[in-house]
Amino acid sequence: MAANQRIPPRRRSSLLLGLAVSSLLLACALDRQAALEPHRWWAGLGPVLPHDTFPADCGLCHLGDDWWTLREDFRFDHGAETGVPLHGAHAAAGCLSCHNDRGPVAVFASQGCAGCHEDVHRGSLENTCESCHTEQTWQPFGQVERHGRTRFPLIGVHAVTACRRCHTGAEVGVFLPAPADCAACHQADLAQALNPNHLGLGWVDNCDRCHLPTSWNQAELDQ
Amino acid sequence: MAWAMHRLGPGPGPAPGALRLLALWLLAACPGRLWASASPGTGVLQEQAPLPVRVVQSSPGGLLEIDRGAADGVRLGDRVLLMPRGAGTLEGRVIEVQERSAGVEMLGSTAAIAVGTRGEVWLPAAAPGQVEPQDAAPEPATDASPAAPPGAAPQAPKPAWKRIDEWREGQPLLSGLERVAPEDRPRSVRGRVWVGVDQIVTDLEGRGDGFYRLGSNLWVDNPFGAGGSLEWQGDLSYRRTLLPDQDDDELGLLRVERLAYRLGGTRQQADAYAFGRFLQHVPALGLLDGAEWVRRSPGGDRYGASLGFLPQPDPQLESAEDLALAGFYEWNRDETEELSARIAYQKTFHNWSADRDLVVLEGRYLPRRGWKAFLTGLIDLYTSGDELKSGLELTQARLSVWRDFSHQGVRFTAYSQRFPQIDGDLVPVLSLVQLADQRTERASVDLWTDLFPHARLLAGGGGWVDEEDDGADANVGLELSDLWSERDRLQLGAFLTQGKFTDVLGWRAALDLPLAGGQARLAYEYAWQDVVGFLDENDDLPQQRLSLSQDWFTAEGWSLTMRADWVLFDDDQGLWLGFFVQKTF
Repeated sequence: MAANQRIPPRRRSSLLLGLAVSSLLLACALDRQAALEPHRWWAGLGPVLPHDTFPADCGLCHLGDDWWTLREDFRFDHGAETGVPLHGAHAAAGCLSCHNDRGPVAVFASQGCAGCHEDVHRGSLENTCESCHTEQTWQPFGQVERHGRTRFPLIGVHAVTACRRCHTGAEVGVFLPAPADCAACHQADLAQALNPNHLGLGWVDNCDRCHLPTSWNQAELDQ
Repeated sequence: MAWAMHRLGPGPGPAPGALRLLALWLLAACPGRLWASASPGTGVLQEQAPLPVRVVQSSPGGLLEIDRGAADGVRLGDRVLLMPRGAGTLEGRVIEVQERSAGVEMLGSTAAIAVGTRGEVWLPAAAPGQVEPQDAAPEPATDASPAAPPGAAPQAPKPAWKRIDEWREGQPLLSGLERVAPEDRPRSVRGRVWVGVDQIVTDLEGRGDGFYRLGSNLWVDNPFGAGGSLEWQGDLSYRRTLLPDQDDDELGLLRVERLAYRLGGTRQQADAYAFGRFLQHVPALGLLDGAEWVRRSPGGDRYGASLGFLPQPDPQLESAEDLALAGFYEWNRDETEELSARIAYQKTFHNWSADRDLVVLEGRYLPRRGWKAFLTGLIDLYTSGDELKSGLELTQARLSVWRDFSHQGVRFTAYSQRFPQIDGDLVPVLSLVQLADQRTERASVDLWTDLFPHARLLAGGGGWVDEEDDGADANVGLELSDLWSERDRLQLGAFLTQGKFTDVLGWRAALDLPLAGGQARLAYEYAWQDVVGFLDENDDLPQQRLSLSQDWFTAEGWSLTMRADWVLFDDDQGLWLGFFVQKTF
């Protein structure tokens, strides 16, 4: 009661109003703090997109006031500025494709391609993507040469056969070793071989006794 | 002294007494500097220091604007050196000064100076705003910092930029800038669209192949205002294989490879969710039609779980037959994730009946320097319901260990593959005999060493074992680079393979040539093939291959790849033509 007597009602209302506004401001401030908090585990690895070596004039690159619009004549020499040159499609990629909220790009870059790109081969191939794919279009190259180091070098018509004919998962990136016995891929050929009747004669394996791997239809008899 | 003369020159200036006081102060405060200026071989530049600048605006009349002004110590008449790419060092003078910018008049043409060109303004070393040179490692030489032309002033080491405010935790971009949350960002779309054609023609009657596709890949960032991303990848394709004495094998389909909504998993949000068709966090667990949750713990480890159907790894990606439930744990030693290990378990139900129990083990050690290692292992657990196999079986394993030294490198690779006994069609369909016996194991080592600049020796070898045979391979080659132009490469090599049905001995040459707007590759290979099991006079088959491919790409995101592989084998020949055009946006 004594307090009420010391603070006039009008001042009390003002005080309450001030307290409410202060609380709101404090809440806003705390909320903004929460928005700034993030980073968590990767906090020690620095900002998402380090700008500390950039020129002081933001207008060199940015246009407007939203930070999202870059100048039309914006150019950034990633190699010269960072020591990490970008080749192929990476040279044309948007900055935020790599420098984004997912985490520090240095962490992912050190993991090679799989740091940023999905391993569509699901761990079944090596992690040296660039030895089979171009960096520009991701088109594979040199498959026949690489296949030459396996137990089944691609010779004859096999060298001009689509991968999917033997590796059924090839179209979706799953390359598992295909069984090397001829019938695994040539079952239909075997069933159609009626002159002579291969199945009837029990000729269901060791096809290479008579057929050259260059083309199935050319049988050459062992003299 | 130039700075002193500029400031203390004729005209209204400080009184003579003040000049004396200033001179005494300079003498007392800067003896080292005066001593340095008096030392031989120094001169004017010892009293000045460069301030890095950028060209902000360029006008045809020769007047440039730079991003530094009076607040940085720039004053009228200061000397400016600009280093446009590939045009040496150009000189100018400051003729106009604003607080944060300055106008520069060049002494020569400004045609080569584009916005963004780097340069220096030479200021008195003690000018306000001047940053202190630091003992930073020298920057790698680039086109932007060419050697000074004859007659130009020698360049002092460039000072490193100094942060005004040190970056602190919670400030994702520039110091002092507030983070823009993913949900506050404008919606954006990026992706690519492509058309591909592969056509194989042979002179073998009735044998050929065609594969045609039109595909797209889209990422929509923040599509619904919640900060997530929507991913699509799919294609419309048609393939037709011509087989002698058989009906053509043809198939046309619309395939959805990815259609997923992902949320979280950022620096700010430890939980990540994915819904739809996507590749799981542990790729070996496969594509999933369902949902996945992954959490990153404060210590950096991750764990998660998923539920959904596994599409079969065939062209159609048929789904809804194999229901999978999986969980994983990923350990990371520290923030860099250089050393990590994962274990995952997946239980599959084929048509609602218990089927596969799969354990995935993965490990990687990828330091920036030193030895690196990568390991993947798939272990199938067989229960009493499995008729053919029991216990544990390592059905797939791959190990790579490698290291690149400054002038040498070595890589060791090993893999093992067996086929698990499962009811679903998640692996190639095999007969029971094949399922029991089929296995492939291979180990190889590859080495390279620089013989001298632009010449590298390559060598490799390996061995393989399967259920009934074994064999080996070896190769040696020489790689020459930068012969005619930067980044060109010529490889010459010989190879030997002991295969299952064929032994091969041959040589090849390949030339990679960067061209304007693209790259070309020309390769030729000649091989003698000894077909195992034939008589000596009927088992040698020479084979030649000639391949040519070329990539073109533009800054607008268009790319075109064309390739032609011609194979001449025995008395027959085949030609593989490929065409791929893609637009990235």
